[in-house]
Amino acid sequence: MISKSFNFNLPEAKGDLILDMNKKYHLTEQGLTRLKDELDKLIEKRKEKTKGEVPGVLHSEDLNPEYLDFREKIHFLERRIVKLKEVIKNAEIIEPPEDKKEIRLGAKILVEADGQEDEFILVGSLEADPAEGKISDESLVGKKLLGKKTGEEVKVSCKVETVYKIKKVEY
Amino acid sequence: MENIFHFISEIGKLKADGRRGWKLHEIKDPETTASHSFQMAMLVLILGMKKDKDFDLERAIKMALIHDICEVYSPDLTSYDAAGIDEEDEFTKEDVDSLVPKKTRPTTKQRRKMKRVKEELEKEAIEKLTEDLPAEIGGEIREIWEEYEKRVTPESKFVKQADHMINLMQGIEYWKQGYEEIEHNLWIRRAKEVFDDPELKDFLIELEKSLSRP
Repeated sequence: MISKSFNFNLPEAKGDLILDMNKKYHLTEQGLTRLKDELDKLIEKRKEKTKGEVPGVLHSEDLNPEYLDFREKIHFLERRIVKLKEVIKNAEIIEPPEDKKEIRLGAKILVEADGQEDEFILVGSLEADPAEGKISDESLVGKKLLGKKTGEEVKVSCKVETVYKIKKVEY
Repeated sequence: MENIFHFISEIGKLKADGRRGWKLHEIKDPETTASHSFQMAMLVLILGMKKDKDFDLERAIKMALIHDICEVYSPDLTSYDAAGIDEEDEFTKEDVDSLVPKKTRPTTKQRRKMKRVKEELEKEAIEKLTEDLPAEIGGEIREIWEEYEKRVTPESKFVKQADHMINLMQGIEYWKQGYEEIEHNLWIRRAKEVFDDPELKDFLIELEKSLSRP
């Protein structure tokens, strides 16, 4: 059962989200650009999905399952769009600190752990991508590194203890 | 229905082959991609139920079930393969077959190179796998898989970390069985860099505690 027009009210996406409108999101320039690109793609996708034929609300006397499925997909897109707009609106670009030896968000850190060197960029949770070397400040290692300086060591332990020697910090 | 039958039949191949990472450790009867995905989907379901209503649990479960289906056609590349990449040379999908894995921790540079090539191969595979499905179904599967790969949404970030957790759990399980070559300490170290999800961080603490249990 297909209707010719887009004939239902979009769900109130905002009402379904727990949004803290005052929350600040600390992002790198690159991270913010990535989110803006993602937002553009989602808006484009929503446009594509809602153009053309849209399933009708009723199939015989029952609710049309195709309509429910369609509505759910649009709802998902709406939620993502609202959330991303909120993040972008409240984004604060990370600025390097005065003391460039101190680890803050956005720092590129060279560490040595278990005799092996590795490099990380410390970012907020939204931007974290460990496969790209971007570790979150909310990870167990990220939390410990935050605020430390070149030459210092941090221990991350539970049953297994690892010592990270901070060899270089740059922005 | 013929195309759906074919798709499900192809997916069934994931029940047969042991995962490459375990084969490199010469583990007898290694876990398959299908069994990995099942346990991972359960972890996503249970921990996902603890999350607030902003989290789309249904989407996350679909993602867990879909995340590795590309392995029907794409190679099951591991971090040991990444460790075999030459940091200075260019690395393309043509180089995959001649890659010699190294049982060490890959550097960030090697991980990045592997990520690009793996994504390219897996994208080709998921397209091949879903191309004959009804457009709506195939489209949704590709969309969810791409979302997982991009790791921008809370669901995809969580599911990726759950994937990592199940690999870690299985590795520790094998280590406990006597496969001492598995460098579980190194894996736990990596996990502490990767996990920032609150539930998974708590789960990791439990996993670490289990190391001393008989």
